[in-house]
Amino acid sequence: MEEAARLAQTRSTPENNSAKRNMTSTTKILRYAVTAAIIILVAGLAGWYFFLNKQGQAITATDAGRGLGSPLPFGGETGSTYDNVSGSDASLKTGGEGKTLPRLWRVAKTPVAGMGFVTAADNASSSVQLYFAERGTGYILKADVKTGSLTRLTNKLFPKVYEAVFGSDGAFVLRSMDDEGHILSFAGKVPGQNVSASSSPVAATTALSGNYLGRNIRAVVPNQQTHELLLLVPQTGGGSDVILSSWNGAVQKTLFSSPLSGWKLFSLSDGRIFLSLAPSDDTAGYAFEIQNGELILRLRDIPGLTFLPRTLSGAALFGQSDGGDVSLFFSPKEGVGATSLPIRTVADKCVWAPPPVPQPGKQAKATSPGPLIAYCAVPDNFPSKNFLADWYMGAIHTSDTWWRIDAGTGEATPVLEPGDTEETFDVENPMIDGTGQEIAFMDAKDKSLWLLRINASEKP
Amino acid sequence: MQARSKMFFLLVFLVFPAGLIHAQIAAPNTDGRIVIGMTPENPVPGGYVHLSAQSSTIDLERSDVTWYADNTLIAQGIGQTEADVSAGPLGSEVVVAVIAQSADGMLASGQAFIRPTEVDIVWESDSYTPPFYKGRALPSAGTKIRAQAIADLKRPDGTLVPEGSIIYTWRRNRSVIQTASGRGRSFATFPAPALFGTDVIEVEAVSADGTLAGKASVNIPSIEPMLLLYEDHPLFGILYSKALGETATVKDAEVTFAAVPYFAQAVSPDDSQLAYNWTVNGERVPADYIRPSAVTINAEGSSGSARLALSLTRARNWNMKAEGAWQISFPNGGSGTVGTDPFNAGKQ
Repeated sequence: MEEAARLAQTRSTPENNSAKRNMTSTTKILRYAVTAAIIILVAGLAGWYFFLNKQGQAITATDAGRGLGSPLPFGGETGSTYDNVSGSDASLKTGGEGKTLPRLWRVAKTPVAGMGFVTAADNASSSVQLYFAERGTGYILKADVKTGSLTRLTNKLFPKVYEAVFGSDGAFVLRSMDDEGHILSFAGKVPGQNVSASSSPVAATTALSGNYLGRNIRAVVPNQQTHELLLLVPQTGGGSDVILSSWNGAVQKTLFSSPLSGWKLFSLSDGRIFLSLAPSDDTAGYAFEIQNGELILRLRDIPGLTFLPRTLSGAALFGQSDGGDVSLFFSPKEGVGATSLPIRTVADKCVWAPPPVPQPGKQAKATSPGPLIAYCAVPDNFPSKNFLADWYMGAIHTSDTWWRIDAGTGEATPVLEPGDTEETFDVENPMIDGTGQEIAFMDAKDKSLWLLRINASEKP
Repeated sequence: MQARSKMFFLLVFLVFPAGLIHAQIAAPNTDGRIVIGMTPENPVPGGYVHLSAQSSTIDLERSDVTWYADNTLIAQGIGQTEADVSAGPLGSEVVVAVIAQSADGMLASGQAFIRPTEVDIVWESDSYTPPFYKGRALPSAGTKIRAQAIADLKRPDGTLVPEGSIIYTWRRNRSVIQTASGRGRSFATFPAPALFGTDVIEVEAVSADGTLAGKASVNIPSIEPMLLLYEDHPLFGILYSKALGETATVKDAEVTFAAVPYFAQAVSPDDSQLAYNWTVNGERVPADYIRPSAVTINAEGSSGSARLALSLTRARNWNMKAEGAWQISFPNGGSGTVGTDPFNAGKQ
């Protein structure tokens, strides 16, 4: 009986069969839908994978172009600059004792922000080293001017350094800009640096240490005798203060305040401080000495004045840019008429030979002015009637040759012999070492760093 | 005899004057008075000074006129109303005396003191120049001129009159600027001349006691702002030493260009008052909101050169307008290498 009932229940009725068919159809559709969704998902993922892979390849290519995966530009003994050094034979890299450097040596091809001569303090046979900072990285390197060896001293990235100054003890100031265009000045020393003639080219790089000076300092000029800084600091609402500062900025003394801000500062090793009005072609320029907080007139009403005072002497070179004519003059002392020199250049391209040091090697202080010898880079032509403005703006460049000027006699002779070099350069920021044997300068065209060796016979 | 003794006493009186004032002074005398004029009015040290005598009490043209400089005879003759003398150095004093005697014996005299001074005006503008620019900021329309008088008023005893004891009178195009003038006011600010105009700025410096005085003037022209274009390199920053010429070649396919408005009325290139209108190949490119002075061109996939043009104006300064156009050549096919040395671009 029960079996019969069970059979009766399992025997399908027409309604039951219809419902069963509907259910089977829904399941099928659902399965198809799920399968289709899975296929679409897989296809999408595959497409996305290929898309990303393609983008990744493009990024990899770009990164490779930017140097990713290439050997690190630092970590070696000389860093990124070494490979760009002119004449980078092994002798330069390893010290190259016995090798003779060319009279005109391109120390760095890569752009530099500034340089300075540093004298070894712990070595009886003193040696001069040329410190410089790379423009792109802020790395500080030193070049031994005798052997040509290069050593990188710091490894802290300091990008976009527009200007760098150095003290004779190796201290430095790196000048850059923040995102808002404010000038930043980082002053410091390389901790543990061994400013010696015998420093090994494999000396370990060390971190930069130092601190920021105030913002927007318009000019920073080191005093090589006192290791202090002369700062031109803007005042609120215009004007500026000339401040004598310790290298880290902790001790500062205002020497002079001016309602104007466009000054060029000169800090001489004899302690005197000069300033000249920022030059402009055809516009009267003035130069002053600061004495006891007062301006003492040195040169007045010179059109397009560029100025270069001489230490331990009242002498000065000055340039004039008037009506498209550029000329250079020698002023023996205040109140005495200036004489025209037989070269056409601006004082910005000149350096004075230093006074003779009584006891070489012991860093004795010079007391007598010695002969008044200057070295000037002379452009072969002046491509603009507004030379100063166009040159300062980077709109024009010159091709210069070096001349030795005996200011006493007015005689000018070329420093380099024909054939010494075929290179051309637009000299800016020239400086001379304490012995008067080496001149370092930058090429304004490409900011490369050069060293000119003055002949022994031409030593003052 | 009587005339001679009169002249003697006059000379003694003139050589030892009681009261000294600058430049022009007439000594009292019994018969008449002579006024001495000097050209220039404020002699400079060692400068040439032309003296002329005038009198309303005596006919100088018919009189015997005698000139002395520090007791030394420098000129004499009938109708000798003019003489020349050189000024001494800064801080010196030359006493000039003139004595005239007419045909009827009437005497007249005058004296003056030549005390050379030096006064100069140094100036600059508050116009925009980029950081590290070594030249002077020059005025353009809408900017201001900051001028400072440097007055060397040296007394015969060698001391300088302090700045706070000097009365300065500033003039702009001959009109006295009362608000800028006064005791100790050696600094003044003026609006720059109108576009293409030139202003004459003058200052007169007089010691408080009136014994020393000097004057200076300067012509200051207004110039148009200059728009220069530089590459803003990702590693090196703005390459201020390489302004792009009318035609320029760059090495990278993507380059950011930065415009620098030299001598414009602005506190920075991205001054909110400035309006940059960039066009590339004639198509206007919207300026970057944060940094309107710069534009980035990506020549990836394209070739040839781009014509970049820029005009710059300033709100509420209709006189300020600067324009520039540059033909920039990019690497063919935009295949420039990232990070190439920008300082040597265009050399090859």
